[in-house]
Amino acid sequence: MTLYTNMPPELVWAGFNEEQQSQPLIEIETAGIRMEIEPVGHGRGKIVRLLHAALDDYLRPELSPGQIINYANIYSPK
Amino acid sequence: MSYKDELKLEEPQVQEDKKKSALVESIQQLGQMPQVAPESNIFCMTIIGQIEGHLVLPPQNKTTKYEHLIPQLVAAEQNAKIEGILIVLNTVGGDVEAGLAIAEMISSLSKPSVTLVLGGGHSIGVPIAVAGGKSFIAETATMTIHPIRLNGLVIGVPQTFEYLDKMQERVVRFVTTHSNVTEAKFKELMFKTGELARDIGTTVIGADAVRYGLIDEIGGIGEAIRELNLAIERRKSGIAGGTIQ
Repeated sequence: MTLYTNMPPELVWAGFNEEQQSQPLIEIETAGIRMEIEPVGHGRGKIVRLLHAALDDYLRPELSPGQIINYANIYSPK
Repeated sequence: MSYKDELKLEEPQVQEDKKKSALVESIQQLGQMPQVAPESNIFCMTIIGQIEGHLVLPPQNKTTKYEHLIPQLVAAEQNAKIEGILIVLNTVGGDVEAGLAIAEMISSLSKPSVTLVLGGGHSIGVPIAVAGGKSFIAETATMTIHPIRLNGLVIGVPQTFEYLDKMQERVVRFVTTHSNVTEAKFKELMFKTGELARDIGTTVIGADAVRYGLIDEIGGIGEAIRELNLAIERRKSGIAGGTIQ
């Protein structure tokens, strides 16, 4: 992988070797959308990526990476 | 009444129920209503921060994830309601493969696309900025054009050099075939010394990008949307004209 950026690499990679995730990522599935989320506490999680979803779901801004979702009552396949 | 007829009668009700339950589910789980904003025929895509590729970058980076952008572009191309795509850039560059993948996706869209560079469109942001049907740059926006830096392990010097040269060539070729800048000029900008404090290369500001032929026009959101609407109209009349014969 080659990074082509005008940001100094030491800034981009700072902290790369340290423990990044305090909690492991989990997968949830709701309304046919399977996504990977990072728990942020109180049954809420930050969407990391959609693993599979209908094409139009990718156009929904509330499902874009970084959005917070309530997952406490969602079935988790793993 | 036959069984089939009964089914037919039932269908609209079942569909309505499904819609309702999807809405309720969305409210319960996402904590918000699905977007019911007036439907726009333009899909706006923002490319911000670092373009994240095969490696997840540390959390201090704001990133644009290519695994989300690529299906978005597929959806925009396929969705009949979307007639044009506006790409807004404010990026510092990122992964070469991911950046070129996005640029190729944008350039091969059959629907009209317009790119707008606001703030910055640096490094691998340059091929993305020129990938659309028409490109705009804000007067104050900048683009840094510089060589690809070496990162990673060097085992064989000639091979590493060759590899970097090839990677760079991919970027140069894409930019020169999708914009009016000549290869000689682009390479001159890329390898200029004395312009950047900690690198070789050039920072091109708004009007200069247009002068070098890299970007089509100076403009902001107004000009970009106007151009996109014109392109949509042209495409519509083109399609209508095509079916007459």
